[in-house]
Amino acid sequence: MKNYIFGILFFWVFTAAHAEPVMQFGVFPHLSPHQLLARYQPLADALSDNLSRSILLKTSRDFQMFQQKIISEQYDFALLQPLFYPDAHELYGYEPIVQLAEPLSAIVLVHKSAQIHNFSDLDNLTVALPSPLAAVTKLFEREIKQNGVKMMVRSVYTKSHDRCYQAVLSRQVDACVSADRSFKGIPIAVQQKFKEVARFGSIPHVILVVHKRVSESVRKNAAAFFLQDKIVPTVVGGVVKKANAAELDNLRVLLK
Amino acid sequence: MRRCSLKYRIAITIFLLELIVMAVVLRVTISYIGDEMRAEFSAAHSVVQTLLIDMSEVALITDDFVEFQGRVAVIVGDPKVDTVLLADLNERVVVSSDLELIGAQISSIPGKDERLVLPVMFGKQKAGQLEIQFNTELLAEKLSDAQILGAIIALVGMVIVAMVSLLMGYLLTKRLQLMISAATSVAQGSLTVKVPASGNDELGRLGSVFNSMVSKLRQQVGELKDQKQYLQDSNVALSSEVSLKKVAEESLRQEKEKVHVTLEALGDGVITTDLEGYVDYLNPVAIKILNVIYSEVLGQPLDRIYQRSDLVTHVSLRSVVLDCLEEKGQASSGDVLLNIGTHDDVVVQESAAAIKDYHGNVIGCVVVFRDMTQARLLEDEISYQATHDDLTGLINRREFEVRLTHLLKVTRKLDIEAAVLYLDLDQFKVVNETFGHVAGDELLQVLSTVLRGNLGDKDSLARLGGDEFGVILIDRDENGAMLVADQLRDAVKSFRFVWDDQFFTVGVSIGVIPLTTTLPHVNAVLSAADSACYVAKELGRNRIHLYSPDDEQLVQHQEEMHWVSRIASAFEQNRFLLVFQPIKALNDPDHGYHFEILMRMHDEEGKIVKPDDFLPAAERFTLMPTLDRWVVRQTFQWLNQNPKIIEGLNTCGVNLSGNSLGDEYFLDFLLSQFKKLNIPKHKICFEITETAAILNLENALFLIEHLRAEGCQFALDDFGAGLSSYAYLKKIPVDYLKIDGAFVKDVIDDPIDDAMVRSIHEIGHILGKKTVAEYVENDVIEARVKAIGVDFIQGYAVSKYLPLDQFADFYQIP
Repeated sequence: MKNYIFGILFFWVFTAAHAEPVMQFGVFPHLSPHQLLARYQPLADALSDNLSRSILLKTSRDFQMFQQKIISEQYDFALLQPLFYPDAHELYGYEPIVQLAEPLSAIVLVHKSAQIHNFSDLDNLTVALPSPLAAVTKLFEREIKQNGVKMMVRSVYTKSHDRCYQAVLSRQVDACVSADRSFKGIPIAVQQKFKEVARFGSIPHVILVVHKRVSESVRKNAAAFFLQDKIVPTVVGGVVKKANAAELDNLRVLLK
Repeated sequence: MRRCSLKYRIAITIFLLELIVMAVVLRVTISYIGDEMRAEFSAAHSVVQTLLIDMSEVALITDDFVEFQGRVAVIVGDPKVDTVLLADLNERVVVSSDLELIGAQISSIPGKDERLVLPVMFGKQKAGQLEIQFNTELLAEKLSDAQILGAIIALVGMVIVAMVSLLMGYLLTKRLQLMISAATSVAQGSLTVKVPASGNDELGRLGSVFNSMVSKLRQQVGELKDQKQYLQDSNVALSSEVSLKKVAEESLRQEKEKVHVTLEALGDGVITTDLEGYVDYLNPVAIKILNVIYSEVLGQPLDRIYQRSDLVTHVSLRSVVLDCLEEKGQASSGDVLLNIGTHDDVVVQESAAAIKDYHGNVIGCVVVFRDMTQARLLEDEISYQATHDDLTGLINRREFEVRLTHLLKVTRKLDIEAAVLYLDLDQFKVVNETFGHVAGDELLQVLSTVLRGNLGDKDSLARLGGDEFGVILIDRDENGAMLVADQLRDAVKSFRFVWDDQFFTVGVSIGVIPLTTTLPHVNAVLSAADSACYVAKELGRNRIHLYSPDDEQLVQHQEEMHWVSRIASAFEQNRFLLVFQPIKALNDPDHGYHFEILMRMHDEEGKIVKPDDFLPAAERFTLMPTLDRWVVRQTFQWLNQNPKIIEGLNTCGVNLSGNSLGDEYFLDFLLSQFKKLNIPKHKICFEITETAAILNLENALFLIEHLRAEGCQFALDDFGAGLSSYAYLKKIPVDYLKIDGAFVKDVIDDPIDDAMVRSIHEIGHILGKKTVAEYVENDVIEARVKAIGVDFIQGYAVSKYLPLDQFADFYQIP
C-alpha cells in the first residue's frame, strides 16, 4: 500500500513538473541565428537551471519580425535593443529587469584608406545601416537633423552590424553606422581595417525585460540571476545594472 | 571423363580452374563494391542529416519555416532522400516534404519506424524534432545493378576462358592428332605420310621413329608392287591384241554401214559400177530419176540405163564410164541431158570419178548426178521477172539500160545508127484519179500492145516507170526516129480507151534522142531524153521534141535540175545563211527595229550565190516549203536567243513562197514555231509576193486571215511587178504594200515610174495599208519617195543587207 501511494505521488510530481509550459527567451537579432544560438544558449541554460523551468531560446530573421514577436507578446523574457523598449513596456506588458551599464553610442566607420574624415564628408555618399529599426539608425538620423546639415546620404540596410562591416570592406558602401559595443565584438585584426570618423548619442543600451504574465516569484528570481550570475556579463557583452525606470522612460524622447 | 579425348580433358581442366578463380574474384569484387556503395550512401546521408539539423536549428530559433520548407523541396529532389519532417516543441509538423502533413502531429504520421528520428536540441532544451526517411531501395538497386554487371562480365569471361581452354587443348594435342592421322593412313595402306618431327621432346622423337618405320615399310611394299606390275603388264598386252582386232572389225562394219546410209540418204543420184561398167549399186534417188527397178538393173551395163546427150546440141555423148576409166580420176562434171526411155528428158548436173583400192588401182566408177530440171525452169522465170515489167510484159528500166549500154558500145564499134525515144503519157493521171488504178493498169497494158505494134522486131520497148516508156530504135537516123515517134504519137492519140461504157483518149509527149558521141553513157542519154520529153510537155503536151545539145530550153531545164542537186547538197552541208536588210521609217524616228530577213547560199567554194540563181529552181521543183521552213525556224531561234532584239523589235519581215502558201501543213508549222520559241506574233510580218498570192489566192487568204487573227502582220511584196490588179488589193488583207524596186530605182528619171509609185502609194493608203519603197539606193530617191508620202524605205540608202551578227552594231545595241 505504501509503495502504491509513493508511486502515485511520484507520478503526480513528475507530471506536474513537466506540465509547466516552456518559457521563451527572445533575443533581438543583432547576430546571425547560429551565432546567437552559440552565444546565448549557455545563458538560457543557466537561467533554466536557476528557475527550474524549461527555457527555449528564440530570435528572428530581422528586426521587423522581432518587433512583431514583441507585439504578439510571444516571449516571456526578452533582450531588447533600446528602440523597442518604449512600446514593449508601455503597450505590450514587458517590465525591465536589467540594462547594460555602459550607454549606447553610434559610430561611423569607414575603410582605413578612405578619404573621409568627418561627419560632413558623408554628404552624397552611401552609408550602410543595420536596419531602419535599429537604434543606431535613429541616432544617425537624429544626428543629421541636429547638426542642421543638409546631407544627401544614400542608405543601405544590411540587416545586421556584421554585414555593415562587410559592406565597407568590400567597398559596396562608403561608410557604415554601427554600435560601439558591436564593433568591439569583432576581431581586433578586422577592427584595424576601419577608422572611426564620427561618434554621437549616449542612450541606455540593451535592456532585459520580462512579461507581466510571468509570476512575481519567477521575476524576482530572474532579476537576481541576471544581476548576480557571472555568465551574464560574458554573454551580453558588458556589466549590467538594475534597470533605471526614469532613464528608460526618457528613451522615447531621445529616439525621436 | 575417361571417354573424352585428351584435348577436351585439358580444356575442361583449365576451364574449371579458371571458373573457380573467377568465382572467387567476382565474389570479392561484388562484396567490395557493395561496401563502397553503402559507405557512399552513409556519407551522403550524414551530410544531408547535418545540413537538415543545421537548418532545423535556424528555423526553430527564428520560428521562420518558410525558407527551410523551400530547401526541403530541393533536398527531396535528391533520389537518396524520401521524406523530411520537422516538428516544433509541441510535436506539430512545421516543415514537411509532403505539404499536406504540415500542422499534423508528427507522432500520428505512419512509417515512423522507417524514419530516422533526430531531436533538435538548443543546449539542454529540446527545441523540436527532425525526422528523415532515406531511400534504401536506391542502394539495393545499385547493388543489384553491380551484381548483374558482375554476372555479365563473369559470363563473358567464362566464354573467353572456354575458348582459350579449347585452343590450348588443341595446341597441346595437335602433334598427337597428326600422329594418330598418320598411323591411321598407314593402317589404310598409305605409305607416303610423314609426321612433323620437329622439337626435341618426346613427341618429336616419336615422330622421327614413326617416319623411319613408314619409310622402311614403303620400300618393302614397293618391291612387291614391282613384281605384281610385271605380271599384270604381260596379261594386258595379250588382252590388248585381241581387243584391237575386234575393234577393227567393228569399225569396218560401222564404216560400211555409214557409207550405205549416206548413199541412201543423199539427195543426188549415185551409181557405182565395176571395172567393166556393170552396175553394182544405185541409191534410191538414182532409181527414181532413171525410173528403173533396182533388181532389174543390178549387174546390167551402165550405158543401158544412163544415156546422155549435150544440153544444147542434143548430140549423144559417150559412156561416162569410159571417161572415168580413161581419166582414172575425176572424169566429168557439168550439165547434160539424160535420155530416159518413154519419159521426158531430164537435165542433170553430173560428175563421175574412178573408185580406187588401197593401192591406187582403179576398181570401178561412181557417177553422181542431180536433177536440175526444176532449177532450170525457175532460173529462166527469175531471169524473165528481173528484166520485165509485171504489168505490161515489156522489158523494165533495168533491162532497158542494159540494152542501151550494149547499144552504146556497138554503135561506136559498128557505126550503127540508133535513137532513143522517151514517152510520157499525157492525162494518164486523170484516168487513174477518175476511174482508179485498175483502169490505169488496163490502159497501160493495152497501150503497151499498141506501141509494140508500131515498132520493128529489132526495136526494144520498155516501161520505165509509171506512165513513162522508153524505145530503142535500131538502124534509124534522126529522121527515121522522128517518123517512128510521130507514128507512136498518132497511134496513142487515135486510141480510144473504153471503161465503164465511157471512152476517152490520152496523148503522149515524146523526147527523141539520136545516139551520138555527145552522149557518152546511159545516164546522159536518159537525162537528155527526160529533158526533151519535159520540153515537149512544156510546149503543150502531145508533142515531139528532138534533142539538140545547144537547145536553150533543154539547157535551162537541165540547169534547173542541176540546181536542185546543188540546193540539196547545200542543205546537207549547212551552206545556207540568213542576212537582214534594215527598213527605215520616214516619219517615225523612234519606230524600233524594222527589217527584212533574207536567205543566201554559199556555193561549194564559199562564195555567196544570188537568190535569183537558185530560188527559181527551188520554186519549180517545190523545194521552197523546205527552204521557207528553214528560214522561219532559224529566224525564230535567232530572235529567241536575243531577247534585247525582241524587246526593241517593231517588225521582222519573213518571206513566204507561193509553194508554202499551197502547203496545207505550213500553217500548223508556223503556229508550232511561234509557240515553241515564244515569239510575239504581232512583231512578225510575213511577206508574200503579189504573184504568189494571186496564183494561190484561196490558200493565201486562208493563211493570211488565220495568222492575222493570231496577231501577225502581212506585206504584199514586189507589188507592181506581177499581175498588179488593184482589185486584188481589196481582197488580200495585208498591212504593208512593198512597192516593187523596179519602179522605185528610176523614180527620179522616169515620170511613169514616178506616177506608178505615187499611184501604188495612194491606193495603198486609201485601203489603209502602209507603203514601203524597195531599192531606195540613194538620198535623192529617199527624198523623192518621202515627198510622195511613202511610210518606209528599204535599200542601200538605208543599208545593204548585213549578216545577223552585225545586227547589234547596226542598231547600236549595247
